[in-house]
Amino acid sequence: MKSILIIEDQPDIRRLICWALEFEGHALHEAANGEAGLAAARAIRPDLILLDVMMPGGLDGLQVCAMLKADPALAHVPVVLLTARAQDSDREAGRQAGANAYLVKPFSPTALIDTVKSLLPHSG
Amino acid sequence: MKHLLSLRLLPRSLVGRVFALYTVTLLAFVVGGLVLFYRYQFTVELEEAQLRADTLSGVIMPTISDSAVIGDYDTIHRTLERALLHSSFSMASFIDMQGGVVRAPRNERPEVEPPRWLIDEVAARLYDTNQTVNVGGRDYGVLRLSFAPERIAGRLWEQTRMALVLALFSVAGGLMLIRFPLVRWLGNLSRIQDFERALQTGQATPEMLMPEDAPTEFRATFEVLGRTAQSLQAQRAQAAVTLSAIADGVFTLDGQGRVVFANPAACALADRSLVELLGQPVAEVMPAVYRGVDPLSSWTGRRVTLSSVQGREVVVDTTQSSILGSDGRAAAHVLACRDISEQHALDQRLRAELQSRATALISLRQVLEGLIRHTAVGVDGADDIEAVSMMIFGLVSQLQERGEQLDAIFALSPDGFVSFDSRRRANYVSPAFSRLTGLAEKQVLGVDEAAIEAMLRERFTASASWRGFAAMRHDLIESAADTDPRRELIDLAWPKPRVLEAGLRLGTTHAISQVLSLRDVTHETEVDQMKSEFLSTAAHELRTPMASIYGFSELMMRRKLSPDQQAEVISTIHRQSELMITIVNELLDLARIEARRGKDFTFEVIDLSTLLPELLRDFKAPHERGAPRLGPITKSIWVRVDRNKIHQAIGNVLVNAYKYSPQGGAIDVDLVRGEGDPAMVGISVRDHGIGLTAEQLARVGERFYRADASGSIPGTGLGISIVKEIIELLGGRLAIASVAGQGTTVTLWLPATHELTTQEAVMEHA
Repeated sequence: MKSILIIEDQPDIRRLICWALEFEGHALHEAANGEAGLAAARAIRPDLILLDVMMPGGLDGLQVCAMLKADPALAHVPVVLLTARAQDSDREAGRQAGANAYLVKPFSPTALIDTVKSLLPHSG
Repeated sequence: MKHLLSLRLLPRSLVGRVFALYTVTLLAFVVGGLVLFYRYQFTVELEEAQLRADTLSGVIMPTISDSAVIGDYDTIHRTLERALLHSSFSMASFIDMQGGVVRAPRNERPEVEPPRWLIDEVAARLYDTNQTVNVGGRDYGVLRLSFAPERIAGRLWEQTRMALVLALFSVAGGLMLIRFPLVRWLGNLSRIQDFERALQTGQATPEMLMPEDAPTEFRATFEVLGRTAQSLQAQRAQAAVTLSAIADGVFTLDGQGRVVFANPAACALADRSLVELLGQPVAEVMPAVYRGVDPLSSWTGRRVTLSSVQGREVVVDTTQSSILGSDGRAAAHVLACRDISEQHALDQRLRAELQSRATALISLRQVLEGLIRHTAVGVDGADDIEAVSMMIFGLVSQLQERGEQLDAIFALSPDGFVSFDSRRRANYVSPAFSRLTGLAEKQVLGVDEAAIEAMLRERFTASASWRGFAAMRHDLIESAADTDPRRELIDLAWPKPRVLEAGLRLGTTHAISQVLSLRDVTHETEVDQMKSEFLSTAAHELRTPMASIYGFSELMMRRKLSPDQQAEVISTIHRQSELMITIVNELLDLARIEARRGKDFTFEVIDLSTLLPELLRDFKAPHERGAPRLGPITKSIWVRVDRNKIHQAIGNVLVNAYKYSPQGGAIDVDLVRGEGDPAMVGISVRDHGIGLTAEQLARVGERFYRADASGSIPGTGLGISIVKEIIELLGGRLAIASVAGQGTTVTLWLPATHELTTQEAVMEHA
């Protein structure tokens, strides 16, 4: 069983993701903003992180991503960025921050499941 | 006539006259003596000859008588012959009574042949002596002695000649003897001539006139002369010193125009020494001065150019005056030459300058008249200077006016300009340019475009992309005339972050080769940026509800959901669709308000004391929340507003007040009066909600800005933006005061309308 951390400010989107992934048998954790997400990631050490880019508060998704990648304990954890911004510059910013995949809102839950599957290690 | 003749015959010199008198006197005496001597000698000689004849007759008579008595004629003959020896007789003869004659002739010629007339005169005075031979009373004959007159005359002539020769010797000797003292004593007078010559050269001394042997009468005269000469010489020396001291050249001329004296300045003018000049006719010395002029006339102030005096050309002002002698004729002349070369050169220069000034003035006037023709200033004056001054005055005032206009335009123009001269150096910098770029006028003026470009580049932001003058010029030349050149933006980091649009225009005049214009497009750029950000944000805001709708609907299609889940999904989709509608409506509202800028507002004068209660009554407060509380309103407050818009604005503020006080609390609405003119009236809405931090407060009113960090409060982030737009279009302003965690007070300030006209009031109530 893999653990997945969802960092997303909108409750509707969080629920959408949970419902999409609950049948895959993953342990799902939620955080509503950047600071909480970062703390949760360090606490639970998830196998994958779904990260919203535009969040209110002190840290946005890109910053959180960069901090995760800078943490040796978490650097190997795949990060999927979720964003409503889909311009080339936004994708480039995501790549710079070290994101492993980029999903543009509105996204298909199927595509989300596929992305998560492709990124999760198959050992367990 | 006779008198003149005699005078003319007289020798001119005193020595000659004295000598002539002496000669005549001597000659008269000698000739007189000679004549007397001759006469005396003549008489004595003739008397002696007669006496000798008588004596000889007496001597030979006895012999003759004896012989005649005895008849011895031979003895008579011999005796006669002997008697004739060495005598002055030519013949002795004895004539006897019978008429026989015994003759003894003697034809001896005298030693000196006398003149005929002398012989004749002597012959006329002498007569033959006849002596009767009487012995004892008886006559035997006559003894006759005949004279030889030529012999007597010869002797006389010889003596005369001798006397003449002696007389001649005496005269000659006398003359010789008298001549020496005469010349020696009277010759002193001729020294005066030497003295005069010496006087002329200034070397005369009184001693020259004082020989030891001079007669006393002369001495006195000479002394007077010497003294006169001395004083004359002193005066002349004084004059000479004076003349050498003055810079003018002065020639003293005698009556014939010969140089008697020339001062050093005159010698310099004539280019000769004084010695060379003395005695020379002045017309030869100074030919230029006397060209075409009588050398003995008088004149003043004639200007003459002397060519090459010591290698340069000298202009002199000449004046010649005559010194009149006692007879009223010119005895001497004085020629004064003043060197006025410098003054002449100045005159010439002045004249040339005046001439060129006059020419310049005329051409200036023509130029100005050409300029004036295009303008209203008309000048007609005969006087060039006056006309030119007036024209210049007119032009200058026009220029000044134009300059002031241009200065004002440039000073007021928000756009900056730099113009460049033909060498592409800045020759004008407008104030706005300095303001925009922070480059002072003095930093830029006279600097070439490369340096200006470098100074601008120092101020660029990292992303600035200006290509520079050369590229812009290249575009201007290459691009077709009707196409607009590419837009050039300059991003400055300091003195203030600015975006400037650069334009380059090529000049057609010599003074201006190109003009760089800078327009501050910071605001436009920001607006552009805001618009694109707004679009992007709006799209993002629409995508968020879309993500729920799209995601949940797909989930519903793929998964079997429980009925509860299905209900929740549909509720979510509905809610998110609602949000989308609100967003779209508010975007449209905002777009319309911005586009019409209040032109679609229907203004009416409304009493807030009646409007507010109505409005609050209609407002639907959220479930489980009390209606907004309205504070006491004591009197009518009139404002001029659009009823629907003020409704929308107050409604939005109320919605926010409830939204941002999720934990509850009363919402208070009050009317407040403001200060100032025009008087403002405020509608304040206060909640006791989460409040805003100072940072959040600063961003309220931004499109899509939402103070809710948790995301639990639904909203578009456009509500307050719309309120702000409406209030500002109604002439009021939005004020928000807030303390985080305690609540927010939003006040809509509107200008109060003090007096309601009767007509408006009637219409209001109608």
